[in-house]
Amino acid sequence: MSLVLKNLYHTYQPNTPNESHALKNINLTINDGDFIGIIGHTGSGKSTLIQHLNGLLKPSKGQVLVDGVDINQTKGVHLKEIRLRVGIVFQYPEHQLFEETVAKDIAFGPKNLGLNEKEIVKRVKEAMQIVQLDYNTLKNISPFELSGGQKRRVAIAGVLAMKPKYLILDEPTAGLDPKGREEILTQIQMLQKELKLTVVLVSHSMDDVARFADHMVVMKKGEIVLSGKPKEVFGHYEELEQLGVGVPTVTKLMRQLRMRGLDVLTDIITIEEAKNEILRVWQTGGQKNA
Amino acid sequence: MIKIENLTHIYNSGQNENIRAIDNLTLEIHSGEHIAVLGHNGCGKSTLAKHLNALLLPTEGTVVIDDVDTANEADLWTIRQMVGMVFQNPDNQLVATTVEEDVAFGPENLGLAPEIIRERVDSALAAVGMTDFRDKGPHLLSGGQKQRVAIAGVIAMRPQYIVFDEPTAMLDPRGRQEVIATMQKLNREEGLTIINITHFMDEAVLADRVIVMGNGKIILEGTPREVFAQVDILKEMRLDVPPIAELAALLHKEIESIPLNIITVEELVNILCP
Repeated sequence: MSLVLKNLYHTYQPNTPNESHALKNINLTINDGDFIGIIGHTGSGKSTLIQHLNGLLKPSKGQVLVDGVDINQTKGVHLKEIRLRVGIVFQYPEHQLFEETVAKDIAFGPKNLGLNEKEIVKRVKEAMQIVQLDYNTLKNISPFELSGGQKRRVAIAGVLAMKPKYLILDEPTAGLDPKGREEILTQIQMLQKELKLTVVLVSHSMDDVARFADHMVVMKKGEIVLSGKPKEVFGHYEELEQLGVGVPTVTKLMRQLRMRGLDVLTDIITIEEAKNEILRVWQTGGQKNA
Repeated sequence: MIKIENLTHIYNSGQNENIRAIDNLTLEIHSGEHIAVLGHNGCGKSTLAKHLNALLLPTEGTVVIDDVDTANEADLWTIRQMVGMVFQNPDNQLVATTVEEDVAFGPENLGLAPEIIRERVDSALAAVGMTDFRDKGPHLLSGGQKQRVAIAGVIAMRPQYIVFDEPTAMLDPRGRQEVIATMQKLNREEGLTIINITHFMDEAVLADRVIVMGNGKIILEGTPREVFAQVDILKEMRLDVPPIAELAALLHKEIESIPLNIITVEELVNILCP
């Protein structure tokens, strides 16, 4: 089962002077259980792309297949049902909180599904547990009294309460402090590893994508310009620098070390890997000198 | 110079529960300095910032800006003119329908003559590199551009100090670069004192002095090099550390000749490949 974009184009305001080609010939397959990172500048088409994944936008040309079904051209497809499977957490989702209490806000989606009260409470509890918010102390509190990081987790819990199979997150850590960022990212990773959700993470942070994603996609002006495992993609150093998205700091370091003649591998993307590689070379180098 | 002496701020939450947001803090900020303030949400950074232009007044202690005590109500407008503030969300700071009207808003309220307003708006827009956008509607700008217009609005008031409260938190990498470059230019070329409250270590590395706050107190203070050598303390506070500082600390444990106080890629390259 998978999410597939096939030869997808999207044009905003077609046949007007303001016509803009937001997506051009996008081909992307997201398999069950994947953790995919999407990187690109503002205006590169990232948000337009993810809005196709659950039918919020219709392609100008091309196909969106959710678990094998073309959601825009197949008769009898209910987008409501697709949106249950594909949950999207938008940027600054806490701006969309509106209920009087945390529990009511998270229950809003499940309630609209027409679930019974018992099931709704169960889902709210589960969702809050996943994002590490304590049900008993917070359920009756107004979401507006919470801190920024907590509000964001309430908003994510609202999407999780719908029990999506695919979870798409658009910059889920923007504006949070390092602690809040770390908490959210680890929880998302847990969702993929333990609950087997498929995760698509849109991010500006190379270091986050390097750490968490199995596969990454780099977008530029509506097109996918690079795609592959983070190690492969970060190997395209010059292109990434040119795109202005950069590479993880340690990748940059290893590259410069190599240019200065140190015999290190350059497909290094985390601090731990960099440490081990530098120690390896240092030790063999030391023996040579001895 | 800004002189903060024994500052304590207690928020009255109205539920018989007082929160001591700043706890007996003493700090001097010199003219022309570029300071970065780090710390978690809730550590008191923003409360401290709001004391610098009398948006908040001390519960105890004093804040004095160039001999003007912020508790002195008669000097409120002088203080606000001396210390400008730039906030996180640019959309909340822009009020007019064109860029130059927005920048003119402050000087107009000072009741300045039109030709002086013109001059101030022009030079403020030039300082942030937004002259070409003067007639544009702010809603047509990118996040980084909006934030630069907000900065221009502050500069047009001719402050000596600018407090930035997480100015890049909502921006993309390009927008962040624009704002950081603007901040540095104002500090270096215009001699403005910059106080930057941030979560981003790559911004903190650029400052002359870094202050790390926790529970309303200053936990660490020093040059970026001194502060980021304390990797263990920072990690324990669950703050970010520049990746190179973290790597250097890990390497130092194995190879003693690699020093702790390294913060840039170039420095580490020079040590490993002398």
